[in-house]
Amino acid sequence: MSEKVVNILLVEDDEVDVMNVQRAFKKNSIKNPLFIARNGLEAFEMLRAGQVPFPHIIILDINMPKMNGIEFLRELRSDEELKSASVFVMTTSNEDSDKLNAYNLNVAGYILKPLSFEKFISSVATLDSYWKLCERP
Amino acid sequence: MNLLTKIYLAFGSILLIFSFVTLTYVKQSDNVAFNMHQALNSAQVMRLSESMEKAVIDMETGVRGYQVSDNAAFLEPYYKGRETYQERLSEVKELVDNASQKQRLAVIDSCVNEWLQVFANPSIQLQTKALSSPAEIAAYHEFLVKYIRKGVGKEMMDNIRMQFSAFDKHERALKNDRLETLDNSLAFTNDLSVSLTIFCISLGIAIALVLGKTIRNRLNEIASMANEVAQGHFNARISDNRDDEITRVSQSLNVMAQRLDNSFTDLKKINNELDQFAYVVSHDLKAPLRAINSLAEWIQEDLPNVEPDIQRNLELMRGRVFRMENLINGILDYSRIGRKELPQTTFSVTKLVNDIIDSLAPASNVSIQVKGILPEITAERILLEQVFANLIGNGIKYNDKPNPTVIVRGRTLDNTYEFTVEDNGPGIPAEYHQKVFGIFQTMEARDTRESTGVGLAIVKKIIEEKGGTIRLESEEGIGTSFIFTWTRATVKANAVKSPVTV
Repeated sequence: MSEKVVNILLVEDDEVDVMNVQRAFKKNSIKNPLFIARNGLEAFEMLRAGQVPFPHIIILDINMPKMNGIEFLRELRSDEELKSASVFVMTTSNEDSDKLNAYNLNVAGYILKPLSFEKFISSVATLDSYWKLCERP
Repeated sequence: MNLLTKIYLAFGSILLIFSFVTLTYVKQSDNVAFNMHQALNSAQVMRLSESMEKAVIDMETGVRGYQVSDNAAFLEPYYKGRETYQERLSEVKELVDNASQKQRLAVIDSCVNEWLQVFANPSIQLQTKALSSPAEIAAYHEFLVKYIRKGVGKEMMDNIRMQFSAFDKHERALKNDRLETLDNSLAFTNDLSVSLTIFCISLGIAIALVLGKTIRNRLNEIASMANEVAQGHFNARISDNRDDEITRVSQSLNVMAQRLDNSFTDLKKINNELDQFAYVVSHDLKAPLRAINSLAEWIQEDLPNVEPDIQRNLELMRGRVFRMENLINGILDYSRIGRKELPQTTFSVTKLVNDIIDSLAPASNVSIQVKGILPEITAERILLEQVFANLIGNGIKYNDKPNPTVIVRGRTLDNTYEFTVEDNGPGIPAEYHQKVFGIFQTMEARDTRESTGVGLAIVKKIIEEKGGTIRLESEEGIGTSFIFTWTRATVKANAVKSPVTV
């Protein structure tokens, strides 16, 4: 049985946050391919160009230059081909308005970026088990 | 026109009509008095004419008596009658003012005079002479044959009687006329005064009703506008283009509402800016902090055999980053109080405190007690929860005793609830009793115990926002009691209910 690997697109502008995710993946031995876009526009380019093969999951920061996370989500949901994508929002913003906007745009989860790396690793571990569930045929 | 002027004018017109009523009444009374006088006059005239007629009859009787008896003593009624007649005549002349009656009176007088000239006087003179000298008997005899026997005197007398009865008849008619006029004018006076009074009263009632209704309607409009404003609809306005006192009140209210509207628009703008600021703080300031923390962590991980000094410095750095994040969260929490409308619910404070005790998960040596029964209140649960959580948490966190104890008490006062959170900690010296409520104020060095100094500031802000007060009583080394009041939410509950009943 050939396991279909879930591809992960990380939309994040902060380099340290990207490194954070990468280190967390390494620590948890998550082997899923990780694609990185620095803002919403770049992410769209990559998705539309088919650079991120199916099936995929998007981890999305909210505060980014050029096209922020909420704008990205809005556009994603209005795109016929991409609107079914699973999106996890990962952000420092604990604002109700951001959470509400995100959930209104049908996100699979809202992860609050914790300050410490250990906490982050546990979040990633949770995500990992979710992916494993998704990967099951 | 001013409202007061309108009221004055209305009452002025009513008073004017009333003075007119009084005036006509006085005038009619004069009329009545005149007519009455006339009627009485006629009665007097009739009485006098009767007396005159009687005097004339007396005269005739006197003359006849003399003629029959030849005794001069019988002439006494004659002379007396003449005298009476003249007296009565002059009296009647003064009273009679009707032209035809005057004429009739003149005719009577001329007839009486004629009777005196032609019959009575000659008869008396000739008879007297004939009695004194026989030579004159012939002349008397001639008179006797020519006048007395022919009944000239009687004829004249009959005529006089007829004249009198005509005069009386007319005078009676005159009297009846006058009485009728008197009745009429009395009736007219009554009708006039009654109808004018009724008119005045109805006019007064009408004016009062119309004025009252307009004033009530306009006051209602003002009241409903004020209610709207009180309920937070600052765009409510009154349209009133009359130019009086109420208009000025309405305009002032409109200006007030406009000002409030402007102020609230400004306030909303400022609040939005503050929200934006809070967002920036929470996201943009925390992002680099997190990065610093991650990097420090990675350095520690990647260099396992680093010198203990560097290791310790890296730890300290991460500790300060934590503190910085706590401070930022503290600022956010503090700035959030009162900016958001929170839902009010009714809940038991005992349950709230028990929930807090559960969430604090105190160590086994810690004892948290609720003394007595705490009330059931209607309030924003989250806010009261924050207050209790901070106060109880502080009581344990800063406690220096082997068996930390926190006691929560509550009682219901007239308009407020009073809660006390008492601990057996180190106590707070009197000079810091106000200072502990300031933001970022702590009693100990921050390194000793990780604390931001935001908790009590938040507690005070929440309590004061809700109209309560907080104070503390403390004895050094023995413990501290925080005593705060929470307004009973009766006003708010009414405000919510009232629109439903309308």
